[in-house]
Amino acid sequence: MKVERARANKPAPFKSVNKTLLVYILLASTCITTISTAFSFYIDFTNEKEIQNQTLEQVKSSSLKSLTEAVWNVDQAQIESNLQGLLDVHDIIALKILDEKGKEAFSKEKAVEGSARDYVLVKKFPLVYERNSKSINLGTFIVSVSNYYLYQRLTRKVLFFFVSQGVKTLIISFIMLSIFGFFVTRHLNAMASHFVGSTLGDDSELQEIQLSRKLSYRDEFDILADSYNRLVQKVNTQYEAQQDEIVRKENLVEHSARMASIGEMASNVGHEINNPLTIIAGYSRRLGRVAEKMIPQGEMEEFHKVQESMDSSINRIGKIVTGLRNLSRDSTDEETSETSLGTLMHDVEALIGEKFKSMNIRFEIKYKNVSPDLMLKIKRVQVGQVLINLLNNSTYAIESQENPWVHIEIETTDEHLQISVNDSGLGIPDHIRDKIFEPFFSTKPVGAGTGIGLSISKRIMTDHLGTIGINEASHNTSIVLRFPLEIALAA
Amino acid sequence: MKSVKVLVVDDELEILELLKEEFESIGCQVRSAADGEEGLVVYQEFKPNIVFSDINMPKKNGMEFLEAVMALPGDKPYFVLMSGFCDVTEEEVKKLGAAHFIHKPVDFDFLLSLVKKVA
Repeated sequence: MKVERARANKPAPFKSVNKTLLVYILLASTCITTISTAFSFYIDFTNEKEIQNQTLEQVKSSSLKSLTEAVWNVDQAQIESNLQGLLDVHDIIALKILDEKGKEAFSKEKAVEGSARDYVLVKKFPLVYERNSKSINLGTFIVSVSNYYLYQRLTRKVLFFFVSQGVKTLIISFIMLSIFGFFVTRHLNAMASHFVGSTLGDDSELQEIQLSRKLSYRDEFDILADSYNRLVQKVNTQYEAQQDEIVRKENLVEHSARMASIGEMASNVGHEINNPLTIIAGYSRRLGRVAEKMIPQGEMEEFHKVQESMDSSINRIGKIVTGLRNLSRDSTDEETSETSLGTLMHDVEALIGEKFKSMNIRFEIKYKNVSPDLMLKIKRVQVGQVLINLLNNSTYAIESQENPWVHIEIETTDEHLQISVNDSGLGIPDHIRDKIFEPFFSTKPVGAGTGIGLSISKRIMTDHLGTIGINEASHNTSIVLRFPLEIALAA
Repeated sequence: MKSVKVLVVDDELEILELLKEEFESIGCQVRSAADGEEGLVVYQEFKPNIVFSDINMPKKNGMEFLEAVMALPGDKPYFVLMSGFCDVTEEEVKKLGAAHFIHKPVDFDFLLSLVKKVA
């Protein structure tokens, strides 16, 4: 079964259209020649027969009267001369005169080839002499006509006709074939070898087809080639887009793998840090109790201040670790969860706040017409990553400024929950505005950035049915995240 | 407060000691254990009102310990799970019967307020 199917699927053997054309043109021209020859044979044959009949009619109308006269007069010489004259008429090979009793009286024959006697047509004319309005029967005049010569002539004629017609059609056929070859098959061949030889089947880019023709007009081949070339361009564009997409996906995978390993590390580090932190917090309290016994009442205030600073530092470390955990987890398969706006900002601030502080960047979160308690249905880790990414970009842009600041402004409009990340930078130059959300675009020096941060952010926003864009109205740098209002849960 | 019996379970001995000190400072009876397995033994003998347990511990972890305690007949204790860092969520913990899930570093005042609530 398998073998049969394999055989059935095997493509039929290749046969060039040139060859097929040649065979069919030859066949057709042979047919046409044969038919036209047959037709011309028929016409000639009818004509010849007509001529033969006319000859016999002439014999009857002109010669018969004088012959009857000669027979009546028994003029031997006249009869002889009459018959000789008739014998000279072509096709007539024998003449006989029978008397009234049917006995042969005169006979004259032409010396002819043997086969001429095979195609003999015998015509009998009665010899009737009119005298004083009385008809006297003198006998019968028999004319033997041979068709042999007629056939011979016809055959020669037909043969000549067939050969000349054949040669003519053959010449015309070859001329036609050459013209057809020049205008059609040549280009078909070029196209076929272009398809077979070069481009179809492998993964590389498709090549456009170029026909070798210099015409002042366009025909079907130009349309075909142009359409194919447009198709090629389209396929190539898609192929490139696909390649880009593959690279982008690979980078996303790499990015999320990196985030996952950071997450795992953060988890281990967190465990190792949080236990000692608990211990420190415990000792701080024990220290408090010991101090109460040892330090005079009046100086306890100073001690409590120190203790509070210690506790708040412990808390801060705890928050940073929690933020790190929340924002560095592998977020690839993250499910939407409910989280408050405040918690989201809290995680972000815990991670980036220290960096801002160390760089003297004033950082502020402004809740304009929303409460931090607003519950959101989002992928918390991913949205957190978007914010961290924007804030990191801000730090990079403004670190060398004198009075750098970063503000996050949160507000709701009629349709959106809008989070703007604004910094003291001077905005994004016009010529790169369109590019910043493209993968691998980076203004940072080689090695400093991967150029995928904003493209990942864009993907995450799209995933949330939201948008990320530049606030062009702002004098400073302002990136706006817009979420549909539906992500906010009704209180 | 004398009547409140507190069981503290953690593999970090210093934490055990500090927690014990805190709870004793408000007059509770405190027993401690270094892992879930030991914790279960102490629990059955001591019958505490409130249990504070870490999650990451050798032998029997906090979740298994919690399950074992809740499977025992009789009164269920007020159970508080503490974690340095793990992927367990508050819902999962509460589903098993815990009253609270607390991330370390713990707020000692909050722990004391829980004990006072049970008393």
